[in-house]
Formats: sequence, C-alpha cells, structure tokens
Amino acid sequence: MTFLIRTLAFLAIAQLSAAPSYATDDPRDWLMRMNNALTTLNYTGVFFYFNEGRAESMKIVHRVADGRTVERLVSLDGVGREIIRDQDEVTCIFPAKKSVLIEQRREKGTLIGAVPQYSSRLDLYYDFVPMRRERLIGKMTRVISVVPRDGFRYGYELWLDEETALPLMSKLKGDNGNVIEQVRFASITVNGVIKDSELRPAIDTTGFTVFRTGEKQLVKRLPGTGWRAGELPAGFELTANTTEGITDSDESVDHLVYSDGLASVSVFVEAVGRKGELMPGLSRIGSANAWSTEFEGFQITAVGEVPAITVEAIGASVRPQTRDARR
Amino acid sequence: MTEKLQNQISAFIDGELPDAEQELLIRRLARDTECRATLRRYALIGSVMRSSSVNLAVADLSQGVAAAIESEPSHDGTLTDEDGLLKILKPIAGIAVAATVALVAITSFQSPDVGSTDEPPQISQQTTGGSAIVVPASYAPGDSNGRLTNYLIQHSEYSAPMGSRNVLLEIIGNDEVVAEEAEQATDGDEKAQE
Repeated sequence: MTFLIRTLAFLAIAQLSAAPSYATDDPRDWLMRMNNALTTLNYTGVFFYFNEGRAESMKIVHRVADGRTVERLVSLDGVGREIIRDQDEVTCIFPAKKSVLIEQRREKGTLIGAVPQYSSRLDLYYDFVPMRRERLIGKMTRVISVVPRDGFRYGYELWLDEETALPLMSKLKGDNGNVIEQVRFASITVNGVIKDSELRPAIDTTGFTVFRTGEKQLVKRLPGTGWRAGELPAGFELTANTTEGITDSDESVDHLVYSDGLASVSVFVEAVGRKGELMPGLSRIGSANAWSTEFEGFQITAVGEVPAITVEAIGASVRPQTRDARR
Repeated sequence: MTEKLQNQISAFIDGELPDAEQELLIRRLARDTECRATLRRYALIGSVMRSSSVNLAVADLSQGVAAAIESEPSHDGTLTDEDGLLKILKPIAGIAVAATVALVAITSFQSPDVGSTDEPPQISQQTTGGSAIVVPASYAPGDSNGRLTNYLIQHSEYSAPMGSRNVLLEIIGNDEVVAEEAEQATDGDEKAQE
C-alpha cells in the first residue's frame, strides 16, 4: 500500500510538472514566453515567408547547447541563400553573387539581444488583445493581437503554440490593418536532437569570395559629443549608443538605437565619401524601412521595422549633440 | 498541376482560402517544389498588379508629412498621432526637415552598382581561394545596397527575437536571384496570355 501511495504521489507530481504552465490569458505573459521560447528552445521547422508579393519557403534550425546558441535560416527556393548566426558572427551566403559576408557581432555571448520586458509602459502605445484559441498544423494555439495606438509602429497578430509558446504563424500589420508580412510554419519539431551538420551551410562555398568585417573597434566618445535625435515619437527612448572605428580609416560610425520597448529603430551616422553610400530618401527591404539624408558632411540613416514615417521623423531630427541638447 | 490546386494557391495568396483547406495546402507546399514555384509566381503577379497603388500610398505619405509640418505652430520635441492622423510638430529652429524631398520609389534595390562583386574590394585583392577579404564594417556585397544590408544585420542585434529574425529573412530573401526569377516568372505569364 505504501508503495502504491508513493507511486501515485510520484505520478501526480509528474503530471503537474508536465501540465502546460501557460494557463493565463494575459497576452503580455504569452509574449514574454514567446520571446523566451524563441531564444532558449531547440527547434527545427519549415515555414513560408510572405512579403510584398514574395512567397519564400525557408527552413530554420535553432540550437542551444552548452551555453551557446546557433541559428541557421535557409531559403529552400532558388539557389539556397542562407544565414548562420552564433555568439560571435553572422554569416550570410549569397550563391547568386558567389559571396559570403561574415559580420562580427557586437554583443557577443548571446543571441537573445533585446528581449523586450513587457512593462505597463507599453500599454501607453499598444493594446494587447487576447483573441481566441485556434488549431494550426495540428497544434492548439493562442491567438494574440498587438494593436498600436498610433501610426508610428506596426501591429502584430500571433498564433502561439499553447505547449511551447513558439509562434506558428505571425502577421505584421500596418496602420490600416493590412498584412505587410507573414510567417507561417508548415512543420516544426521542438526539443529534438540537432546535429552539428544541420547547422553547417548546405552550399559548397569553394571559390566564393569571403568578405569578413574587421573586429569591432569601439570608440569612446567624450560626454556631450556624438549624435542624438531631436524629435522622437511617443515612447521611443535611446536604448543603445556605440561608436565604432572603421577598419583602415580614421573615420567612425555612430550607431544609436531607439526603442519603445517593442519596436526599435537604429540610426547610423558616418562621414560622407566612403563607397556604398545610400541614396537620400526612403528605401525598404521587406517590412524594414530606411530613411537616409546628409547633414554637414555626414550621412544619417534610420532603419527599423516600423512605418516609413517613423524612420523619416527620427532620421530627419538627428543632429550633433551639444551639452544643452543631450538626452 | 491540377486547376483546382492552382485555384487553391491563388485563393491562399488572396487570403480567401477556407481554413480547412489551408492546412492541407501548407503541407503540400512544404513538400512540392512545383507548388512552391507556382506560389511564388502567383504572389509576385499579384504584387505587380497592385504595385501602382502601393507607390501612390507612399507618395501620399510624404506629402502628408510636409503638410503636417507646415501646419503646426509650435514644437516641444514630441511627435504625436491624433485621431488617426499623423501630426508632426514643427521642428525646432535651425532644423530643416526636407518634407518635400523627392521620394525614392519603394524598391528593395536602391543602388544597383553598390556591392557589386565586379568592383575591386577596398582592402586587398579579390581572391577566389579560401582567404577572406577584410572590409570596413559598413561594406557588404550581398545586396545591391550593401551598406543597407550591413545596417540591417547590425540592427538585428537590437531587435526583439522575432523582429531580428524577420530582418534576417528579408536579407536572405533579397538576393538578386529573387529579382531575376521574378522577372522570368512575369515574362512567362505574359507570354502565356498572348
């Protein structure tokens, strides 16, 4: 009898431990869990990416092992473009150009990056709406809507797996509710064994030209120097500010990051004259908008997954910092 | 490919395919290369047909910004959006916001010559072997607008996890091959209609 009671108790405890802990309906909690899942779980999957008339099928492999995170994104269409990122580098393979770009990561040690903390402050700029439960690729999901309160940020609609909180489908929405971008999984495997071979490029890059950016050389600015945005949409604050030296040059690039806690905009400022300058005005890659201008010999570029009017407003207000105007 | 399947793909792109059929179609797309090619072609054709309305919307945006700046009498450094309209408070003295700047057409490829592998690299001789070319932090060859690609990669480090991934998706979905394939797809359908 004692053995039976202990066995039943053990099973009860095991059952409680296995029960989904995502019982709350608060969409903010679900978003936190989603971010945690995206950064800490092992998973592989095939998904479709829709943007501006493009429909791409892709594969993702994400592994966290021995404190190291590696992620690989592969296009399954065309000639197999892919990106591999780990703690130290981001490697982009472009078969059509027979080139490989290796970018040193600034924030080494984690792929978590800016995991947003959903404070009540976000309620000033977004409405978080629990919508419904829905089945997708055989899994039950919680559908959550994040609705911006003004036209300076995008909205989201997310289908989060109830078991893992991974987003099985996501839609990025403009200010009139139109879908700008959509990611939809066709299949996903979580917590399986991921071999090293699954994280290596599928393409033979022999003969490719490899471009490797130099080691990041941070430059320390004197207080009161550097650049700042003079006008910001409500809720956007400066969250990061670095200055990096450019290899074999006396010049540097200032990188500012402004965020409202969910959306973020990067501003890059560097001297005019180096090869690869952007044309002034607005440009776009997918759902990311960029706005570039020149000011007294410097090119200023604001880029982010925000509406065009946001990058234009922030970028147009960037000026050299003075002690009086410092934020 | 059956006509029914083609109709399903078309309806899927337009957001009109019933939920019950979407799951089956998604699974089919994941394993069927021909289906995926059809999906991409139909998605592009639909975008091309809608492209004029997209460009007009962007042009209107720029003019709206100009009008809003000119109409505001005061400024406190905060941008607000009231009643669904975007109102940008007048910039502080000395800042000239180019609200009437000619708007560059929305395109994924801004400077065709930038980042071309035909250009000699800045630092060392180009190699077809295994050694790497060290380049400045703001140079990237993978896109015709190499610097913007580089900026996006750096920006992705500061985006939320899902946002950073989507930024990278845009980069690998932006190779010239996509444009070439798209052009071929459009030509093919034009010929089919003749």
